[in-house]
Amino acid sequence: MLNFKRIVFFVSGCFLIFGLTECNHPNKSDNQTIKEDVSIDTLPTLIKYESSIFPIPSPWQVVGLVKNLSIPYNENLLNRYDRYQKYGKSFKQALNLGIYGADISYLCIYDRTQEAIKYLDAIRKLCDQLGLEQIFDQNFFDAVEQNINNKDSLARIITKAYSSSDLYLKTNERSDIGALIVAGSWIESMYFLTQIALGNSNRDIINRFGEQKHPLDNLIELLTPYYYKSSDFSELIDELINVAYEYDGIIYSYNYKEPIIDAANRQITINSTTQVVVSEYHIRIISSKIESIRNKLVE
Amino acid sequence: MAKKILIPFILIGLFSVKATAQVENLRNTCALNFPPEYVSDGQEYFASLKPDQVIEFRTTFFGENTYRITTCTSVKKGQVVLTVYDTDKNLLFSNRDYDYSPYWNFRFTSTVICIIQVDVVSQQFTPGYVMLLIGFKQ
Repeated sequence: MLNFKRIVFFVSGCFLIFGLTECNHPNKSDNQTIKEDVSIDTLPTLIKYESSIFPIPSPWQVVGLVKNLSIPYNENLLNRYDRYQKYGKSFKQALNLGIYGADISYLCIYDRTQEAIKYLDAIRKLCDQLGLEQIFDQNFFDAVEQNINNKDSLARIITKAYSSSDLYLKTNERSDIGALIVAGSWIESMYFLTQIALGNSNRDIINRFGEQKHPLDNLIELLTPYYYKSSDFSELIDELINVAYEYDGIIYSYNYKEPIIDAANRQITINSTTQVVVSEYHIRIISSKIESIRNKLVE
Repeated sequence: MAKKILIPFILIGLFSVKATAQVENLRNTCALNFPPEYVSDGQEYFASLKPDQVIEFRTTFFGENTYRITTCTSVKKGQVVLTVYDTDKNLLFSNRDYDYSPYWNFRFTSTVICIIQVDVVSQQFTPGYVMLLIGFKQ
């Protein structure tokens, strides 16, 4: 009898804990509730993130540069929106969620709104599979629809949703999925950049190509904690390290100049300069390696 | 006996809910200083703080771009110190000299890799979180 009481007491306590956790997210589906059980361990995730902040540039920046240089739209650069059905594992689903995020930034910047809607549908399906439907929810899609012709607003809405999913994943012990989304986004924007750099001698494109060395290092650092999680992770990281070796051959020089601080407008102008020297060999070899990684991910 | 088993579970559960709520609140506070013309890089950077701890990371800022860096903390009466160096450790900026203002715009004429340090000063240490948002101007 005493044991029975203990069991009832224990189970009730567990329900109390889960119930409190659930109160924080009132719109969750049953599927997410199951995942939420893991959030009891939220705090260690937060601690793990200390001193491990690895920023990766937004794909909107890469695509914005391409558009500003009047480089024509090329639909062959994009992953096909209907491929999402092929991605059965969360590893590929997360990577391709990032890839589609970069694709949609490309489409929006080139005012291809009809195509962008198809990609949003693919994003919705991947989010459902990854348990992120509360981030990319109906409100998100309504906001996108209302701003479909305003690319500045779209950029804000879409990147905010990606930021929210990043925060959600980090606080729910799913940082590996968050890291893969970021990786997919960077790899796809690098794919755009490298494919464009191959047929273009524009200095800005070549510089931006060369300047990806440090973001790549950050991406490798971001993924490295999951190296032994699966062979998928270790293969991807090894391939990225292989690209990083090639980046070691690119020459950088940096000159410090004193910044100008406009305290009244809270603006700091950084006048220091960096020069990048990229050889044709490095453009060719890095582009080829990025293409190989990216094509494997979208298959 | 049952109480002994339950208490740690309840405490852990409550603590994790509180931690998540703190991060969510922080994000909302930080977002107030992140106007619509700035596009986030798609990541949310937060960390818990211990006494005398400084968070440091490197990031690339691309030339001909303006970035906003916004910081905030859940530490009571705490002020976030934002310091930016280049990779040669030349000091580019610290908000310590500007009343710890929580947000600043950085215009880069050329691409520069920066070291960003974040610290919290408070009269008495209380545990909490610090958050950073980085975005570029459209």
